[in-house]
Parts: sequence; structure tokens; C-alpha cells
Amino acid sequence: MVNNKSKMTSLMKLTPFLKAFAWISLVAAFVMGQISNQTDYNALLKQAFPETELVKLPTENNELFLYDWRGQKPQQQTLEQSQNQREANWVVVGQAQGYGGPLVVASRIVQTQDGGMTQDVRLIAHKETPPYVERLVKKQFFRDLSHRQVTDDFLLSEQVDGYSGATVTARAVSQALRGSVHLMAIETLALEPTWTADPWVFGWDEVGMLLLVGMTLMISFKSKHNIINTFKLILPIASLVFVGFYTNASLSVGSFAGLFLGYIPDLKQHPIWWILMGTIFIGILLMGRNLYCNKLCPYSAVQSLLHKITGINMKVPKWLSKHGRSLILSMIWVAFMLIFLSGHPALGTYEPFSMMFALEGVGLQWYILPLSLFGACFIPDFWCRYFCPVGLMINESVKLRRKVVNQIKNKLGRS
Amino acid sequence: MSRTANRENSHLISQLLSITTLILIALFFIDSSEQLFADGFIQRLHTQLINIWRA
Repeated sequence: MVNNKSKMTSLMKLTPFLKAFAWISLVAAFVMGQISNQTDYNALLKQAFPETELVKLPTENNELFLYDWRGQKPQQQTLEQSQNQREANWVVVGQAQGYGGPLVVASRIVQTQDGGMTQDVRLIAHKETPPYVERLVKKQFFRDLSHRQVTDDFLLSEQVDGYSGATVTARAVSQALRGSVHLMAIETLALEPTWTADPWVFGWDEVGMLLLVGMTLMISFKSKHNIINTFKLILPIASLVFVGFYTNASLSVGSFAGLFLGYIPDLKQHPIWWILMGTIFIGILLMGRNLYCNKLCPYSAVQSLLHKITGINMKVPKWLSKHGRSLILSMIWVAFMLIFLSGHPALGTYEPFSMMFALEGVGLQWYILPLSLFGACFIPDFWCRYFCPVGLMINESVKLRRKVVNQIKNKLGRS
Repeated sequence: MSRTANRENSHLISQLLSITTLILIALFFIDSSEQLFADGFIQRLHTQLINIWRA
């Protein structure tokens, strides 16, 4: 008993140092990551077009990254190739926010009588989960973007087939291409902008998400009205089907770490991300509530459903009950360290959501999924209570908000 | 099966599930760290720091 007490005292003395170390190391990782992960277009282009001589052209517009395609290095050309390459050729580079962070697209542009044409569109850098990019390559998405006039709209589902399951990545690629090619068309080819301006992506998916958010807000007001009880029954299933399987929009530790890295998707192209994140932040800041867990989160719906099916209530080990919060905080710290150092959210995202809802995953995530589902059959909210980083981050933010509000109220009360 | 045996079994199952999940998450992080270093993080950081120092 005396030993346990002295251990506790030692641990309590260490806690402030551990907290300080955690925060300082996160800041250091962020800074080191920013330094080492700077996008170097020259290096990326050398890797993508290794046998080609590309010379950066000076441009008046700082947002235009244009390279003169001087073709294959002279000793590797045939006579026919050197003759063909006398026509003007460029490579233009564009960037946009994908699902996991910024992606960089390079496109060769060949001058034509009408202006120019894209050839050989390549994704030269990205932070997407590899299966999503592989899906686009298999469906020849990049080939569909080639051999198009530079004045084309390059919009999904109009001129370019979008690919369900990788739509966010596909949209980002087309946005990066559109931005860079259209800018080049204006600045270099002196063409008039005849294409459609970036449209808002707002359809039934976005309406559906707003309806779910509306139901969540109504439930949060804790009314005893019958319709609220109906919403309480419908919402978990609706979240599972819509947020989970249909849109695969569930948030992860990578989504939150990405905020610090500036990986914020375009509002026009990805309104669903904004709706979900906006709801979470409105809940934290304005309402002091967690509006995501057990309401909009599809994985919590899976956990509840599995537990209801089995009806088994096993007790969690005492060490997990006692140290669960510290364990999740440690996992969040490791995840953030990996994401900050690599600039790659997928490296720290250990949650198995993509495997569950899109059957896409990498390595060990395929083993974490069945284990967490199996655990949910026996232990209520097994993943949510003992392993989920998103829930803890939101709950801790809500606690912090309440603390700050109470402090302000106390100060105002005293004055 | 007696109640005590059931309780012991359920205790074992929940211990096993919890420990195995934690081990898998730890292995995931180890794998990610290996990927980070295999990707040339140290070399890139070194190069960029030298560039900054020279500038």
C-alpha cells in the first residue's frame, strides 16, 4: 500500500514534465516536418520525366509553374524525335488539396493551331492512401485527361468520368490540372477564358449531410418531442449508411492533424468535409457539446449495432479502465508525431474506417478492423471508449471550452 | 459452465482483445516509422537544413 502511494506520488511529479515534453516534441516535429517536406517541383519533375530535359521558364505570374520541354536528352533522341520536338512543348505543374493532403499534377502541353492540347497527365506527388490512386490508374483516369484542349473545363462527370470510391482524389487532380492549364492558356498562349469557372459541388450528397446535421442539432436540444425520439432511432443507422458506406466521409486523427498542416480542402469542391468539420467546431465552441460521437460517427453506429446483436456485456480489464485516457493520449501523440514529420496523414491514421466503409486499407489496418469489431460484440463501445483518438480530442476540447467559459463567468461575476 | 468459470473466461477474452488491439496499433506505428525513414526523411531534412544554413 505504501509502495503504491509512493509510485503514485512519483508519477504525479513526472506528469507536468511528460506534458511539457509531449508539447515541445510536437512543435519540434511540426517544424522539422515543414523544413523537410517542402515541395520541390524540379526534383519531382526529374523523377517523373527522367530522360527529359526540362527548363523552368520565368513567368510574370508567380502561381504559374511552367517548364520548357526540350525533349529527350540529345544523345538519346532519334532524328525523327528531334524533328518532332521542334514544336512548342511545355510542362505545367499544378497543386490542389486531395483527401490526405496536397497533390501535385504535371501535364505536358503541346502547341496546336487552336492553342494547345494536354498530353501525358501525371500525378507526381500526393499524400493519398495508395489504393485510391491505384483505383484511378486502373480506370485510366489520367489517360482520360490527356489529349484535351487546354480550354476544356476538365470537370468530373461532364467531360471526365469521375470514379466513385476515389472521387475526392479525382476531383483534386482535375482541380489541380484545371488551375494550372487554364492559367497557362491565358498567360502563355494568350487565349480567352472560354471555360466554366470552378463550380460548386453541391448535390444530393451535400443535402443529405445537412439533413443529418440538422437531426443531430435537434437531438442535442434534448426535447421530449416524439419526432426527436424518432431522430434518435434513425440517426445512427442513417450515419452508418450515409456518412460511412455512401460518402465514406468519417473523420480520423489524420483529418485533425491535417488542419495544423494546412490541408484544408477547397470549400467549393469538398463541401461535405466543411459541413462535418463545421458541425464539430460549432458544437465545441458554441454549444459546448460533442456533436460527432454517437451521432454522426458511422463507426460508433457499427459498435452499437454489434453490441445490440450479441447483448454480451464483458467488463473491460481494470488497467484499461484506469489508464484508457492516457493510452489514447499516447496514441494521439505518436500519430501526430508521425504525421507532422512525414507531412502524410495516412502514416498516423491507425483507425480502420476506410477498410470498413470503402474496403481500402494498408497493412496492419486490415487486422485492427476485425479485432475492433469483434471487441464491440463483447465490450460496449470497445473502440470508441478505449482506442478512438477523434472522440477524445473532441471531448477534451469540449472540457477546455467549459473550463474557459466558467473562468470567464467567474471573473465577470467577481467584477 | 459455472459462474466463476464464465467470469474468468470473459476476463480472459476482454484482456486478450484489449492487449491484442494495442499490440496491433503499436505495430502499425512501428511500420509507419519505418516507412518514414525509408522515404528518406533524414536525408531530406539534412539537405534542407544545409540549404537554409547556406542561405
